[in-house]
Amino acid sequence: MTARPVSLPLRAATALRGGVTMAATAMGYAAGWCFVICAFFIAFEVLARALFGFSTGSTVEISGYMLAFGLSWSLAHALAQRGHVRIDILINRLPRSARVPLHLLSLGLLGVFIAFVAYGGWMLVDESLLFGASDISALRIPLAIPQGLWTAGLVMFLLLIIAMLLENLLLAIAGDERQVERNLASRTYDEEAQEALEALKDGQSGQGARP
Amino acid sequence: MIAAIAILAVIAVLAGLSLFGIGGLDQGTVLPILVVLVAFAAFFAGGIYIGAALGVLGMLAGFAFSDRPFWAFIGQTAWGPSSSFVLVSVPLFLLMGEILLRAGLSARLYHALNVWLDRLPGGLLHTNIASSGMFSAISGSSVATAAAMGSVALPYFQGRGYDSRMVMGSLAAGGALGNLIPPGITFIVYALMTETSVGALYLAALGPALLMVLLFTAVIMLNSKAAPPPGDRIPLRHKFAALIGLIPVILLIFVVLGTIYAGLATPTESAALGVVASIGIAALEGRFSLRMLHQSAEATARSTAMIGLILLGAYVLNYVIGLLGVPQMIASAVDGLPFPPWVVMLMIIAFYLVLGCFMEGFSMIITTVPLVFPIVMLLGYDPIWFGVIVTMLVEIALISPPFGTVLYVLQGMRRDGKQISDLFAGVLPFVLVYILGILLLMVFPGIALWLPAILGP
Repeated sequence: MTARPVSLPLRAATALRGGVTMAATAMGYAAGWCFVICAFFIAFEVLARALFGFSTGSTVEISGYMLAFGLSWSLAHALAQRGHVRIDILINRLPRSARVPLHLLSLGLLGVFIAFVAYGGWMLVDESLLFGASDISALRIPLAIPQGLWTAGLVMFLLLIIAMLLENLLLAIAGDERQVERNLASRTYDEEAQEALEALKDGQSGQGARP
Repeated sequence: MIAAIAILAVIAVLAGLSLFGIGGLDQGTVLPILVVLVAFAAFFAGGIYIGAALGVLGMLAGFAFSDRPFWAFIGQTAWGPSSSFVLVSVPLFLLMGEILLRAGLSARLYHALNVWLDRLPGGLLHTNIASSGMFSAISGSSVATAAAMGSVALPYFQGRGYDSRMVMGSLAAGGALGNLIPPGITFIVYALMTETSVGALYLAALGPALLMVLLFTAVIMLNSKAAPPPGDRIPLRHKFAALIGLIPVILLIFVVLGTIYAGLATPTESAALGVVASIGIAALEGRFSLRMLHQSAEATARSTAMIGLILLGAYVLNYVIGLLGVPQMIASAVDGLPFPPWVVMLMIIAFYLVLGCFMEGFSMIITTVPLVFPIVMLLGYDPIWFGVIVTMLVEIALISPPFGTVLYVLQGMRRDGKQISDLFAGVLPFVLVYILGILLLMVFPGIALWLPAILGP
């Protein structure tokens, strides 16, 4: 394929999306490790309570905050990896020229919804700050901290949606439908299965399977 | 083409359900429901992200029909499930599954079950069911299970004279037991949305899980001609040697389920212990590395985000339709139907079977349960019982021709060059007995409810 001349706005949009994606990936990794830490934290609390009668008295709250953090910080990363679920049985049967507007519409509506939730999150933080609200756990954690981190993840998600929308809109205008499709179509089961097989191979590379 | 027809069928079912209700409702309330349902179908058909479709519908319904400033509570509505302690168990179980997937246990699991089940009429086919079932119970992803078990199992069958239909059918069917066998994450999501007890659901699932294993075994026994006659007896020494390799996994299952059943830990706490234990197992196997843990963590984050986005959308929608009183409207509409409860229940089951053709299991449960659950309660069914039924329906969806994802994953792995119709034919008897299992559960709810009744809190 011969390289098409790429317009300046498109190049800028691609660079923007690339930058946001890098940040989103880092946040996704942080979210994943948060779950690992969360597991050890809860396990420690359970054992400490059972064996030494010791506990922070805030397990439920803290692990809930860790979930909120992990959940919202991984949202953007999952989008970049095309991991969010859509029902694509019908649109996969449409011609590409019809699929592209649907991809863009799908992303646009996601943006509308996330903007709404992020706004809600921001109001929540604002309120918690105003009243100096803290939870009822033993540690009296100010709610604005976990809610702020949670909202930050939502805002990042929104930023990535906007950046992707911009880039793919310009791509669609430039007539590069193939690339839009590559960027936005959801993952196929083939890709998922391939990933599982690779994970499996990693596991078995040590000793080799016994037939 | 088939998809279009089926979507129309879904719309017809939905419209039919709400039209039936007209008798019991005034015209003003039917219109909003109908609008929402049609918009629902249009969004889904257009391939909108499910979370966004639910959320935007909620926003539209709120702005159109509510005169209250519902947006003032959106933050709280979305924060609630995001920070729920019950839901914490979902990423933890996912993480446990990802670690175990990478711990390289699948081959050993298959081998150990094989030497024990080899001499049953049907031979390796039983191993397929048992190993897929066990693996999917700890893995949490049906696609990962199908890929893992397919890659391990298929080489065993090469040139051994098994009927390829039954081989593929039993592999698929076993994977469809995973969510039913505790600890499945479907139950956690259901429990979160309906405020039922995860522990009670796990207890209730044991009977039906056993029932399905027996039914699947029966299918294979009846088709024992699909397998070559059993080979030489395997010395007991070898059998126990194979079992030793499984001890860590058996201990893990015991720790996770035992602590839940004994009431020693909440499901979230058990999941956390399970993660730590599975890291220990991986280390014991010599397969633990920071890189492997990092990959597991990343995959967990992605799956959690996927479930999380749908949950956010669903909670926003539920909040708005709750304000509008839609669940009560639908419930009273269904109440006005001139059918006995079991007919309505059959309609609900049929609805799930159709919907399951398009939607991945979690999305299906999160999307439908808020609307269907009040109806089920009104009809006088037990919430725990219905949780088991819904989970079984989700499992059927995974292996139903022509759209079941698991089937395509397995088809992609076979090397004998046969068409997918061969696989469809192989899995069909299992799908049918699965539906039979649901009907049995309708007639004898005790299969599910007996254990929680005698052991529950």
